[in-house]
Amino acid sequence: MTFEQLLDMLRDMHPDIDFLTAEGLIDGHILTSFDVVSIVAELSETYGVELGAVDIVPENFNSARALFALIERIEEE
Amino acid sequence: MTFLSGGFLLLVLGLLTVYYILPRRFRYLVLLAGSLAFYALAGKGYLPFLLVTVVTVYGTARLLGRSLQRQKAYVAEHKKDLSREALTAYKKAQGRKRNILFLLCLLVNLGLLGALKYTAFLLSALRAPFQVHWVLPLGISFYTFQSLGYLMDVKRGKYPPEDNFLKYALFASFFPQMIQGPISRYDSLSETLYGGANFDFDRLGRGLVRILWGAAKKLLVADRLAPGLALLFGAEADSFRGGWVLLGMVLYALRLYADFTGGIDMALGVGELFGVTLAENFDRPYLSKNIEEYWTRWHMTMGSWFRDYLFYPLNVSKPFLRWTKALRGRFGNGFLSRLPLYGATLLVWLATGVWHGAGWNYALWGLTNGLVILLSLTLKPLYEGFHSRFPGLKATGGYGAFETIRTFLLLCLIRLWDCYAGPRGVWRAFSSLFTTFNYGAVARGLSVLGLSGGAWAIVLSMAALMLLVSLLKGEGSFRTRFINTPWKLWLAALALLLLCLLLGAYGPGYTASDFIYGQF
Repeated sequence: MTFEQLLDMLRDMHPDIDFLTAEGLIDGHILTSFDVVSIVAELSETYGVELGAVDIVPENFNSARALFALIERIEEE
Repeated sequence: MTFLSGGFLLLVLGLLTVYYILPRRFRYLVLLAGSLAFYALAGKGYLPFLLVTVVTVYGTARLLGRSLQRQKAYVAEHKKDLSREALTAYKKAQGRKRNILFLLCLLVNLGLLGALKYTAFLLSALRAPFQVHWVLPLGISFYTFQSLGYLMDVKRGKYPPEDNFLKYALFASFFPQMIQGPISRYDSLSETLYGGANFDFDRLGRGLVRILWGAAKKLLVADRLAPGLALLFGAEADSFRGGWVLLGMVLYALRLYADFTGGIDMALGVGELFGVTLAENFDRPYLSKNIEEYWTRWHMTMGSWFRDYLFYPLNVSKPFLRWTKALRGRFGNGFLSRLPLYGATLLVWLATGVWHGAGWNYALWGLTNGLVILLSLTLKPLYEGFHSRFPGLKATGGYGAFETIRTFLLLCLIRLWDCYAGPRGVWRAFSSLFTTFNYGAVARGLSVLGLSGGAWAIVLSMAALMLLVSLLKGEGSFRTRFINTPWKLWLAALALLLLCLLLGAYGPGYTASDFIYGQF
């Protein structure tokens, strides 16, 4: 999965957020727990990226870049 | 023995003296001795239940940690000579063994909690010919969940288990959090719990200010409102309808806030005296703009526990993801494809309700919260459509105030489940809001709540002060921003002490030692 694909996926879910620059998505209550679950489901369904409950921490979802770094780590494993 | 008792004061003073006299490496033992003494004195027969949890969780976590370590070593050793499939099969087999261990420990601890907390209710619901009267150990719901959170983190490999039994026992039993939380996480609490902080006169002052601020909330607001609210929601509740219900809802919200946040302020302040940082449990919850946000700002350590250890694991589990995928394939992205998410949400809220206590009201309170959150999720497109037609509205202060007041009233309505006995009682109170317009009589009859004009002035002034502090503090700490020099700290401590002594509620009818969340 590429960073561009991730950005497109996130934009489809939340067109109102500029994911390229947005930080503090969880800490700032911009994304809710429902959004997080939708992202995990979409990643699994469309890209076969399996995130576990242990990966769902604010640091991994606070920005698109942090999420992409997590995805890269998982794909390497 | 709870925060506002002479025994607790003596315990803290004694522990502080010994704590700062002993060398740093022994100080955690003082906290452990104090915690066990506190718990033994809190109630006859409580200690064995706590020890069962401490021993089983400590032992299981060690076994899980060892298994993870062995697995890591095995995979590193055989990475080159074994196929990917063989390594995956090995990991799965090890994972299954860990699951069995984990489930056994879960069964013991949740079984204990469940048996003590719910047996009487279940027997009564099933109309059994006999009844049990078991005493619920203080804070059992809090320390059980804290311990199980630790166990799950170890199982997930988030951090290695604590090897030192005494240190682990302190984590599970640290006395300020035993009354009503917060539900701490091991990785953050252990940073300050074991090191034995150096003596710092200013930190002592900060801790004292926080304790006294919590005590002022409790004594000036919560305890003053308690007798009147007991009357409104008690046996004579049918006499208080319409405007009384509205008044009761708002005053109950004020009392609960003062009681619970006051108790947590005291717990965090006591921790601070020993240099221990406990997790914050509130972030100006009544300023939330919707119920979902409210639950990220009220009782945060409980909410995040259910989110991290139940909601997320359920929703990202393979069966749930498969179920969601199948429904999406069949029904697209509509309502039906969200059934797994909705089901998990309601389950989590049911568990949250039941965590608070045994009774239909608790379960229905939890489910109502879940339903309101799901309803707002479902109506989101409508809401977004409305705001796309009026793009500037959302940013206006007036609309923000409307959202805050709407959310406050909504959560007051949900809390009717807390206030009245049984669904019928709740329905009668709720419906009277729209059928009984007796606001004039309520205004004339306020004295029935047992508060004099002076007492009302104290309650309302303190409520205004709490609101002002919430507004001024922003996202940081009020003490860091405004009480940030030694003389300001000690002056604030003196002022708060005088406030508690001169304006607090004492005497017959007032129970300063009881906290609403202490019963959970």
